Amino acid sequence: MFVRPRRALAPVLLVALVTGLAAARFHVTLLRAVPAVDTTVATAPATLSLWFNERPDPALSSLRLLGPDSVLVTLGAVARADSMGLTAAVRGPLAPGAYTVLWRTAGPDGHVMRGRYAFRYQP
Amino acid sequence: MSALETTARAVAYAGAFAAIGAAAARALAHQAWRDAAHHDARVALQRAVVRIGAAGAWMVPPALLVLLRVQAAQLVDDGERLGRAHVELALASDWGTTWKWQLAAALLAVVAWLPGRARPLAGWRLTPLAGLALAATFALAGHPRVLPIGPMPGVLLGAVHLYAAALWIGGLAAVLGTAWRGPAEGRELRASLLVRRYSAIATVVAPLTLLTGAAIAWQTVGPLRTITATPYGQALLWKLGLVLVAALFGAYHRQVSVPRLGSPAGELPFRRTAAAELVAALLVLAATAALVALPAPGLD
Repeated sequence: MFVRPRRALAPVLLVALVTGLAAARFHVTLLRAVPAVDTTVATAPATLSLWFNERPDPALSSLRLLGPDSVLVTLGAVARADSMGLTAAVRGPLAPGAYTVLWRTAGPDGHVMRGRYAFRYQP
Repeated sequence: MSALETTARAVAYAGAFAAIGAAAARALAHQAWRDAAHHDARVALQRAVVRIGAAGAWMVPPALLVLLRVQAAQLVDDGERLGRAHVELALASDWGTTWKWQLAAALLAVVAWLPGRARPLAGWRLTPLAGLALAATFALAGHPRVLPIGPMPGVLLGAVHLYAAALWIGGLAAVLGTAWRGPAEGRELRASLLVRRYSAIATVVAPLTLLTGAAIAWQTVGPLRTITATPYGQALLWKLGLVLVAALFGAYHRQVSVPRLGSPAGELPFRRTAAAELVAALLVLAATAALVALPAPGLD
């Protein structure tokens, strides 16, 4: 009596199934931003800058700015602000009103995280 | 984490564990069955080992391709459709660089395990190297890179943990699947010789798996007070309790079941305790799986 190789693979597959689930998820979270979260600014921001708890990978990152009528404002390419931050130039004109910043980034482990925050432009 | 991503990761890990375990089983048999009387059995075992190793190696590249697609799909923003640009973005990232290393290691494993006649086409020397490459690149692409101790010590810790776990679990499965191969005459003796060799290795790699796992957990749990104060810490305590259960099974296995091998009456009890050891290892890992959905206090 012996266990055939295919049957021997079964426990390996089971263990590996759990191992695949096993690593704890380490989340990239937004620490601060300019313009700051839920604030009102009197001057139209020339750039958006966001800082995270992990080093963000620009290749996996995007920033989008939604205007008062949910219209996308044109932004420049996303670049590093410093080791923990991302920045993008605001190219389009900003009308007074409520804005939403949509961000997507990932840390060195590649886990993609998304978030959004609002600010108001009131000259 | 989507079901597709979970499945792909599971398949990739299963392939790596099988390939590493198969190489270990062959190396152990090479020493344990050195006697010319065991030649036929050694050939039969090697054929089975090559099948296990090749099957494992071939599981990894398709799983990695699925993981690339999953990663690219995560980059799709509202109003976009998944396309080549998203794949290129994923490949251009840090994640993509480590993915390419993983793929290179997986292809090395496929080449190393190409079947020949009762041996891999390229010989046996490449198979352990491919296993080491798989362990190293899997650690490079995973969470060990973001541990507080730093990327390099973290990756080293992760690679040792993964390789030791693969030798323990993959090795046990491969030995169970091959130890009773060959002619009926002397089968119990041969199985006993092989299992004793494996048992000696397991005595080292099982504690090493647990120690490195504990070191990684220590990095993720943060201050000691969080062990009882957070769901993550409480889940970790459950896991530690199950580790003790697994350790007891392992000790019983080594002290009672293995010494009885060598006679027909010893086979079934050994298979039972070995299966119990596999199940216990599975439960430990299942407890670890519970940590997935919980925020790790030491990393926030």
